[in-house]
Formats: sequence, structure tokens, C-alpha cells
Amino acid sequence: MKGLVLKDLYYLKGFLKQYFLVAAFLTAWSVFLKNSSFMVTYLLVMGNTLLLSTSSMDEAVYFNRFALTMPVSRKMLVQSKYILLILIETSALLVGLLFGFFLELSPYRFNGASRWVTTSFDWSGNVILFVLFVGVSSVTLPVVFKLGVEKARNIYVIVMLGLAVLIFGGLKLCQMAGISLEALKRLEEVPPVEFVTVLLALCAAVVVISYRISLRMIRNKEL
Amino acid sequence: MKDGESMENAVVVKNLTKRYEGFTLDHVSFQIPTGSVVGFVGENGAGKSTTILAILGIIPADEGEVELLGHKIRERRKDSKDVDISQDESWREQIGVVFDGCNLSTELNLKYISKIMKNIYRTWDEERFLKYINKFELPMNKKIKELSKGMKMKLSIAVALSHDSRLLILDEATSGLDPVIRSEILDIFREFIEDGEHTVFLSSHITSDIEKIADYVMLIHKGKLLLTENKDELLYNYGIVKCTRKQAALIPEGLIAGKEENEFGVNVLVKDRQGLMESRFPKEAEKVSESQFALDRASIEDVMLYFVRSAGGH
Repeated sequence: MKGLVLKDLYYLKGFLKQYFLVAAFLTAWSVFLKNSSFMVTYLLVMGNTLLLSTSSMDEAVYFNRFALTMPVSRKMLVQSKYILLILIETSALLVGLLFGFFLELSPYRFNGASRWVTTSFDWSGNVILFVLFVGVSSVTLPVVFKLGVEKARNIYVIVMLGLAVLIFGGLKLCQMAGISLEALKRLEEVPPVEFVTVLLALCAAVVVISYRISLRMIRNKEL
Repeated sequence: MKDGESMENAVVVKNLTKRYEGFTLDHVSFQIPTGSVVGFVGENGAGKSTTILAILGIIPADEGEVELLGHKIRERRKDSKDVDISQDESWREQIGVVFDGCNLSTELNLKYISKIMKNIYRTWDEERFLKYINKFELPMNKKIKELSKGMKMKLSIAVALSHDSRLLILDEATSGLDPVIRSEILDIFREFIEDGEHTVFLSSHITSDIEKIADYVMLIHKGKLLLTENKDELLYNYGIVKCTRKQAALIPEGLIAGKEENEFGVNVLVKDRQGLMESRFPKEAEKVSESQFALDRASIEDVMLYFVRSAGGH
């Protein structure tokens, strides 16, 4: 298992230069705007894209077929991709949270002494983005195992567009129909820790369901 | 290579069947004795790769039983259904497989490959891997995409041999390589089986390689195993009779393995050259025609071509 994840991580190492180049640009942009959500979104989107790239490479060299000649089971092939998903996206979230925390630090005078505090850092917003992107990858991974990477890429784009249409279209429709969105604002009253815990639990459930579907997809597949 | 207990055989396959639309691997059965090199020949699409992939469980077979190095991979249940029973993957430690081409990410270099394999095979021997890398003169820091086809193949072989592999399975691994590299690779296989405990199963349509190294030859055509023979016996016994049509009619039916007619006469592949010369054929052939018949040794390629044509292909 460790070997399979390592194989993907070594492969991804080749992308580091361009990854950091874009990250550097976005860092400057975020500092300019004093808003870290660009950076977190970029890191999470890249995480999804990189995950698909590893599967794309596997497909190009028929790695999965070869892997089954080694002490590797179909289950391990699936597990390794889910571990990679969690690893990449969690790293993206942590880097994003740290970045956001430091970006929004500001000097604050209290009792004559100067301190650095974060006043407007929305960490739970970053977790929502994390759950969203892990959710999207959870939809695409079973497609990777069933139909291959190219079709999974299409599904990825469709799901992202669908989400955008659903959110913005839904809001617009509510506006047009005169439906009040006050109820949504009540969500802000939920303490962030509880809110995030529920979201992460939901995310974990989606990942587990997706993993089980992927296992079914690969069970009798000719690799 | 027909009878024997499974412990004496590295591979035992019984009635292996895989059905596709337009192609069926049809009840293939064979045994590979431990310590031997078996050449698996057949034209493209004959079923060599399907057999290998089904043996390894990479494609699910419809029927059949498979035993590799004493481990039952597929067996017949009491309800007469054949099922995959291999849940434990540890037996794969003892098998090295090389396909046509390198199946590792082209962005990796050899240093990374060793680290990856160390975390996949419990028995990965880094020292042995480095020894092969040096022997094959492979550059440690170059990415796979920068290696030539021959180098990639050598790398795949180095990986296959750098763990506790007792059975080496090669599917068209030498195709597309030049004769010098093929010869080097065949030398490595010879070294591998030297101690009598290691086995090589080599599928190829390059029959000259099989002729150089194999102890046994298996011929597959349209999903059916047509021939399983000891290579030396095959080369010693099989012959091609070049004669007239009248002479060909006199060859005992039981000796004929294949026939090919052309504008000059008939070429007949016979299974037993000595048997033919001891039969009434030579004398009777002289009587029916003024021209002398010729009897040549047959190569594996000849045997393959005649068998395939007689079986109704190409």
C-alpha cells in the first residue's frame, strides 16, 4: 500500500515547480486582496487535478494490470487512490488554513500593548471548500475505476458546473420567487466547531460510500 | 510435460476458458515443470496474452483451475463452478512478470523505483536490483521516459528478478528489441534457471528466441492449445518433406502434422522423420515419381506455420 502511494507522490513531485509558481502568484494576489479563499480553492482544485493525473499516468502505462502481478490486490489499488485523495486535500486545507491565518493577522492595541490577532479569519469557510472538493473527487473516483480517466475528467467538469449552476441558479431562483434566504443566515448562528464537525462527518460518509462503489467497479474489471 | 504432481510443476492449468465475443480461450490445459523454460508461441491474437492474464487472475476466467508454485489460484468448487480463491496476495512475491513495455510511470527514475518496490515486495533485494542496474548499464538518475526501449525492458526484467521470484512470466517481452539485446536477455534467463528451482514461461512470436532457450514449446492458435512438446524432441523428430502430390499421398496419415501445396508440389510437415524413413514411403515414393523427395529438419517457425495453416488460420 505504502509503495502505491509513494509511486504517486514521486510522480507528483515532478509537478511541484509549476504548482509553486502558480501558488506564488496567488499568494501575492491574496495578500493584495487580504483574502485567502483564492489560495485554498486553488490548492484544493489542484489536489483534485493531480489525483486524476496520477490515474491518467497509471492508465497510460497499464500500471494497474502490472500491479496485480505484484503482492497488490484490487482493493489496495482503490485504497491507495483514496488515501492519496485525503492526503493531498488535507495538506491543501492545512496549508490554506495556515496561510489564511497569517494573512489575516493584524496589529491590535489592547491596554496600551500591541498584539497580533486575527479578527476576520473564516476557517470554517475553508473547511466547507475542503468538503466540497473531496465530495467532487468522491464522485469522479468510481468513474475512474469503471470508465477510465478521460470520462472521469468530463464527469469532474460536469459536476463542478452542476454545483455552480445549483448554487447560483438556486439563489437566483429564490430571489426571483421572492423566497427569503433568512433561514440560511441562521446557519451562521450554529457554532463553527459543531458546524464543521457535521460537515466533516458528512464528507467521511460520502468518501466511504464512494470507496465502496469504486471497489465494486474494479472487482471484475479487466485491467 | 504431461503428467506429474503439482509440487514438481511450477504451473498447473486445467481447462482454462475465457469467452469473449469473437474469441474463446478454449479449455486450455498444461503443466510447466519446475526448473524449465517453456516457450509459448502463436501468432498475434492467438490467445497467449489472454492465457497469461487469466493465469495471473488479472482477467477473470470463465472456467478452469490454476495452480502457481503450489498455490491454488482458481479451483473447482463442489457445485462444479470454478472460482478465484486467492485472497492472500503473498504468493505473488515469488512471481516476476514482464509485459511488452515498461508499466511504471515514465516520470520516475530508478532510485524511486527501488524505493517504491521496497514498499511493495517484502522480499525486495535492493542490492540485487543495483547489481542488475549496473550489469545492464542503466542510468540511476534518468527518468524512464528518457530510456530506450531496450533499456526499459532491461529495467522491467531487473524489477522482476530483484525479489524472491521463482517463476518468471514474460509476455512478448523481447518483441521489438534488437538481436543483441534479445541475446543478452536470454542469457539472463539461462542464469535464472541454472539452479533448477526457477522457472521461465516465455510467450513470444519470435520463434528463434524460443528455439535458443526453451526446454518445451507450447503452440496456441485461435484460443486452442495445438501442441505441447519437448523442444529438442520436436526439432529432432519433426521434418518437412518436399515432394510431388503423388508422393505426398503415400505418407502415412498418422505422421502428417500439416500440409502446404504450391505450384512445384507439396510440402508436408511430418511428426516423425525417422518413422517416415523406416516406413514404406521412401521405396514407394521412388516408384511413383522420377523426382526425388527431400526431407529437411523443421524449425519451430515451420511447425508453427504448418500447424496454424492446417488448423485453418491465415
